[in-house]
Amino acid sequence: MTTSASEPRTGEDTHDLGSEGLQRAKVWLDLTTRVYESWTHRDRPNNELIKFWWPHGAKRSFSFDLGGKFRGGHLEKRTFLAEVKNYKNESDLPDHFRDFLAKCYVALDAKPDRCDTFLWISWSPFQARQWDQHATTASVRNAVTNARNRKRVLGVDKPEDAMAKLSDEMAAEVARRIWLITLSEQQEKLVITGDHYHKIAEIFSRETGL
Amino acid sequence: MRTDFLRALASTSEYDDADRRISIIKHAVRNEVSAVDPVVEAHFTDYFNHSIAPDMVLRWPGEGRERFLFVRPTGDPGWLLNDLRLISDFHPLVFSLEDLSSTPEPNGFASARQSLEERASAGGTWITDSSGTEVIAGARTQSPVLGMLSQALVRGGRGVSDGQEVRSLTQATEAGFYAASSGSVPVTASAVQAIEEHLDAEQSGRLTRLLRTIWEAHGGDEARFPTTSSLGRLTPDDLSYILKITADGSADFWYRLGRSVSTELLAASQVEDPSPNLQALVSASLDRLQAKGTRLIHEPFRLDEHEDFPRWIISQRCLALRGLNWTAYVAARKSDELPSPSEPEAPDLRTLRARATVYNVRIKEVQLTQADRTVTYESKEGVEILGDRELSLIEADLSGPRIDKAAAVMADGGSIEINFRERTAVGPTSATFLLGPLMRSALPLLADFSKQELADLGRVLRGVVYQESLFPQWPDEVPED
Repeated sequence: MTTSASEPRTGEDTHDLGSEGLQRAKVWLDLTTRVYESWTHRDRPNNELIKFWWPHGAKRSFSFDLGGKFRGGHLEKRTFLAEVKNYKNESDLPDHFRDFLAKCYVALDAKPDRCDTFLWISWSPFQARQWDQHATTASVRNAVTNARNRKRVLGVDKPEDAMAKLSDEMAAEVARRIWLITLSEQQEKLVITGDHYHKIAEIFSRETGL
Repeated sequence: MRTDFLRALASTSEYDDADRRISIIKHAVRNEVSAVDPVVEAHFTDYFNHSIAPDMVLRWPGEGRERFLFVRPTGDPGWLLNDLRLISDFHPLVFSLEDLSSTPEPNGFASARQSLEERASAGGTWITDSSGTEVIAGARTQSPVLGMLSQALVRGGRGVSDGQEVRSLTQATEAGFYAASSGSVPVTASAVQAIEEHLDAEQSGRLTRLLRTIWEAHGGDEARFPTTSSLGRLTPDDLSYILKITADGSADFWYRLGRSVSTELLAASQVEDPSPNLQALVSASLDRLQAKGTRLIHEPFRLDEHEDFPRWIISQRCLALRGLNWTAYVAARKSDELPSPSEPEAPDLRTLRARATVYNVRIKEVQLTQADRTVTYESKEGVEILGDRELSLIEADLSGPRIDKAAAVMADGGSIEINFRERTAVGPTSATFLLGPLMRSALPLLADFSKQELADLGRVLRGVVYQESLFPQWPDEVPED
């Protein structure tokens, strides 16, 4: 996820790593054959669709890493926003995940039609003992009311004010839409083979709709 | 185009809906590609910026080929290089919404761009942007060769072509075709290199064969022509392609091409009727194309055919002149190339006299037939005989004979044999004629044409502006039927 000047990048290496992870995540999603379209935070002009403003962030914005639309079955035409973290281990993933939840809360409030699904894609799990608690209403509530986020999301300084202003319904909706996806290099390879995706591409090319 | 394209991209900001934006983007890209190749049909898929599913499928009417087009929002060479791993097997066209030369990352750019160029070139992938399409779309109307080049890029371009790259290619190509006319090796070699670097074997072969053809047609030494990947001369398929796609060809272009084609090559090509390009090429080549003879066949006007008469067509593997209710097929080398004759129609002597005066053709021999009697009347000196009193006496003796055959001397002195039973005029033994003089002399002998038809024939067979002085003046006054 990219941010405005309030969260500057920490160097070229991080940037390159992020870019590589972003492309790998996009390819993997595409090779599931369940994606119609997607764009990254650097892909103009549709990157505008994954950019949001902090409601009380002094005109600061943030962007998800990836956005798009699923295809097929129960996912047909469902939108997604994705955060991609190319980390080998836990590192500061918990902090990033907390902010991701807060951003999902903001995005769902601002543009619900773009937020059918929130994908958290990383190459490392974090806080595995509480893994089943990550995508819960409580987790979203904690993330939004956290000291780092309550001012820019809810416009209040005090925890109790934040709790009072938070919408539990919205937090529950965010939690319901979170997908936690932990990839590995092996899993990235465990997709359709080259000759199969050639065939699938041929099939895809026959479908017209626009 | 580029301004429209950038304006279209900017207009997407007005829409909150991704599908609406994607539709605008795809239409803008399609407009760019169509500006480079007006005949391409770009079919949208349901996908956008997908790793393996194309955004569009490009097809060409009647060609049975297709090419995938992938839209890529980024021009980042590193990102595109990664993309190629999955799509290069399709030999696609990749259209970058972002300028390929404006990547924001200087680190490693040069090497990534170089790698991208190498990978795209080796894999037959053509990567371009709106700066590239702007240059080629602007150049394509400047000459038929650049028109061919631009359409060849969409069909079989390879490598990375931004505006600067395309400009270099078009300049090298244009210069090469001029240089081929004057036998300049270095400039022609540069053109061959540029063409082969930017096009796959099929498309580059077509252009370099045309280049070689023009080189040789202008007397260039075959051995000094630059080495090319594709050998051989212009093929019927090449010529069909040129006739199909060329737009706004100058008289000079058709004249130069006309020095390089033969009647056999034309006969073997596939040309849709009507073809303005075929008219231009044959018209420019009437003093060059060789023909053995012609056969006129009664073929009624079809309701679905074009109404411009007479016009050149390719039919039954022959070059032919199509008139109202008739077609004059041309044999390139042998009379058995001609389709079977239609019902016989042998004229009487009076009719032949009238026909012969249309173009002042000298009749030196006639074969008159009445029932089972046949008389051949011939001038051993090859002089005109139709006015001979003796011939009139024979005609009277035979009580209205028909003329089965005749021998005529054309304006340039060549002798031609007419078989009225087969409505055919061919050169004796191995004789062949220039197409223009043959048709101008022989056609009026084979049938009765109205004044208007004769005037139209005169216009078409005079070759319009080309080498007009080569032909005697077509008479303004023609006899009444």
